[in-house]
Amino acid sequence: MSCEEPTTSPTPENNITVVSSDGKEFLLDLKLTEQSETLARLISNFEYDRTDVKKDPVPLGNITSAQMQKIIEWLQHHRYYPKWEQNDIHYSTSFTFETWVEEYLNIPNNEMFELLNAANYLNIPRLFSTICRIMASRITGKSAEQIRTVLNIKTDVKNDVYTGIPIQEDSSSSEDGMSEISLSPSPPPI
Amino acid sequence: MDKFPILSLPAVPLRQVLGGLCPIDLFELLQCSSRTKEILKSFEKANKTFKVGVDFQRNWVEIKGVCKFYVKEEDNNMNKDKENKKRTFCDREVPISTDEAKATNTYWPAGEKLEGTMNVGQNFVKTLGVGQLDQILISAENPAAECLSWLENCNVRLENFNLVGAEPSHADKLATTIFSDDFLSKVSVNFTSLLEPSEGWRPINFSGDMPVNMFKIHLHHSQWFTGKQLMAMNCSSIILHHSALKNEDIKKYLEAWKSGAYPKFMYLSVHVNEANKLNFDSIVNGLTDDKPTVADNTTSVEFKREDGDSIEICLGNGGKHFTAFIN
Repeated sequence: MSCEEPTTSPTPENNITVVSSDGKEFLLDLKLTEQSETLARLISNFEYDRTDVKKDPVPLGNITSAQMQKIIEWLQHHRYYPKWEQNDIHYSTSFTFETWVEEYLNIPNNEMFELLNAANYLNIPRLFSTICRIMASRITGKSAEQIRTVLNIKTDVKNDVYTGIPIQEDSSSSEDGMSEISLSPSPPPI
Repeated sequence: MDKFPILSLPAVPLRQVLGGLCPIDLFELLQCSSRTKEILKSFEKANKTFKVGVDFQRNWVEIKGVCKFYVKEEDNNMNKDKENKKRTFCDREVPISTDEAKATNTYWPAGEKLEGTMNVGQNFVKTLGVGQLDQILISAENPAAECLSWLENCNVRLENFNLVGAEPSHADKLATTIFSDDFLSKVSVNFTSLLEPSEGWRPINFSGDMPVNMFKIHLHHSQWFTGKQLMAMNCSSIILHHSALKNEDIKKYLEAWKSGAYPKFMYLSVHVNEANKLNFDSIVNGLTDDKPTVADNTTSVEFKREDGDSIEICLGNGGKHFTAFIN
């Protein structure tokens, strides 16, 4: 999809300030915030789209400045895209993305995980859905043993309830009590 | 390696990722570890998708709508196809190959097809955490007692139970096992038995005091089946062959239906044995005053009960075949 991207400069009338968890301020064009359902609802509730309303900075306690910078890049690229329509992705195993998206998401897995959480928090459906599809594509078509390898699922040994014979059981847990799973650093061809 | 703790995702993005997987991907992911099983089971899609069927006759285990695992014996021709892949089922690691979409061949040493089927079946009962098998089919060639013992060890209930037959020398012992209150209570949908116990065999643990709740029971050799056991059948469909039921047994069942019992009942078919013959008037006497009709050597009449349900009963084939069905 190709979109014209005219340059616009935020002015006090058409922007808000958001503050990342590490205290950095970002000036956001109201047009960009339309892609985030969280921000759009906040702006609507506080009537920040009116010129006569004082706009306090919006704290985003769950988003770091690096994540915010990355998200703004996404919002700016999709500024003039039509509103995202969620398709039924069930049972779809092959996805294609435009080159810009592939390059944008060619990032380490830990950044991808943080970006997905940020997209979920800010409720940016296009970004959220895109990352989820990429994650699904890294699992699909693999056997349990291949998924264990690719996702680096750690196991321990426990006796089988029927035979008494040792079987493999997952024992990995991170500090939050959840399994730590790693994906291979290079994404598969999309 | 960069970490992507996918199972640590909040519920919404995790559900979105899982939504992009087809059933076979979810099936494989579920088996990765007890942790993945625990987390994925909380998602409706994973819970609903997996039903396991075990066919001892054709030696396969089917994950319904997902894939099928065939149990084959190793031979010289299969080496080219194995692709050197292996998979562990319970404690046994065996070569596998995939020869078509959604079908996996598992190769077991000669003479171990039964053990292989049991291992593959038990593996998925355990890893998928199913408490009920969708289907089990046992043929006359299978050592049915071993299959039933395996089933008991798996500690699962059954939706569909099919026993095609058994070695005549084992038939009575097997009949005692499957025609028992305990075993019948494990089956919820269809119970089909072609088992032929000896003429004098009678069930020991099937009292007829406990209601049998399932959709359909189909017995190809039911000469031992009594009126009291018929009264215990809270089923939609009851089909009996070689039956020794008497007029009064069927009449008593119909009287109970007419008085409001058996709300699920839809169909009763009784084929009596050589020594037996049913009498239409004896069965319907007192149930209806309507005059029966005769067509094609079949006598039939229809009557209702208080809730408005209407039943048509027929006796044909010279008094050898009785049917009753709800209109």
